[in-house]
Amino acid sequence: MSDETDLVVRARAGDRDAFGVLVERYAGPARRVARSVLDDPDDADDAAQDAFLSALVKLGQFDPRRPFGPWLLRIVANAATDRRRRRKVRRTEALDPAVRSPEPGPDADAVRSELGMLLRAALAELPERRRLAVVLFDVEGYGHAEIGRILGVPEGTVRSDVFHARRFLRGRLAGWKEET
Amino acid sequence: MGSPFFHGRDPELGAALRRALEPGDEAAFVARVRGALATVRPRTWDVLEQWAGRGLVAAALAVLAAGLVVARTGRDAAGLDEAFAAAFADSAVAFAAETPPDPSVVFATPGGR
Repeated sequence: MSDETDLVVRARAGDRDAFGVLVERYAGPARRVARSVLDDPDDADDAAQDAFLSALVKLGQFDPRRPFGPWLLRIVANAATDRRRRRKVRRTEALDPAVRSPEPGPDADAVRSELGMLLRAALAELPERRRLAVVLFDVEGYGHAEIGRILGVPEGTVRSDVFHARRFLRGRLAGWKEET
Repeated sequence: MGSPFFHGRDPELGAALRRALEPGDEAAFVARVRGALATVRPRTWDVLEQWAGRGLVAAALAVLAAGLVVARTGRDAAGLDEAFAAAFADSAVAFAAETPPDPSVVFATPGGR
């Protein structure tokens, strides 16, 4: 039994410390995936936390013989997408000036990075599935087939999404390089 | 960065995206989630679902054991019938009597006779 399978089995049996180790292990990927969907870092962290708690509740439905990461990241992607939809509705309903002009978030270092800002802005222009596909492939290192299972689309669609996302991001980066 | 037609990894784009999405202060986030874990209770249905498999195995074993007992006692069915008949006859006499019956007769089981 692999280390991760053992952790999942123990977590399923009610061992919260074992689940805590899984949280440590997947905090980075979960937060990055959530951040690729949600512009606001606090929103992204809230979505990632919701996803971890939801995963704990649903752990009985998970087959421990399968890899935990893709299953968790599917929950993260759904949590982030739901939060984004709800936020859009709230913004349409009530145009709060504070929401329209948010204060700088806690990731001030990243915001200061011009390239980081440019990439986040470029990601935000992409359709949601393309953002997730390129982040899961080029940042998190998952294969096309696995990403297909995470996003619930065929492998060919993932290849196409990664291709279009890369082309778009490279176009933006090329423009930025010419300016600087 | 390489051609978009390339289907392998793009380490340069990957690293740039990772830096752009890096949320920072992972320890604080993990501590926050660990704290929230204590508030989560598993849903009743999920707990029942986890027990369902074990419950079915236990039920199957119980049925098997009951079948074995019935198969064994079936061989002595005639003897059991006679014992029951005798027990009910004694009961009828006891109820018809004017004086209270002997408790050892009332509580005697057919098998114990």
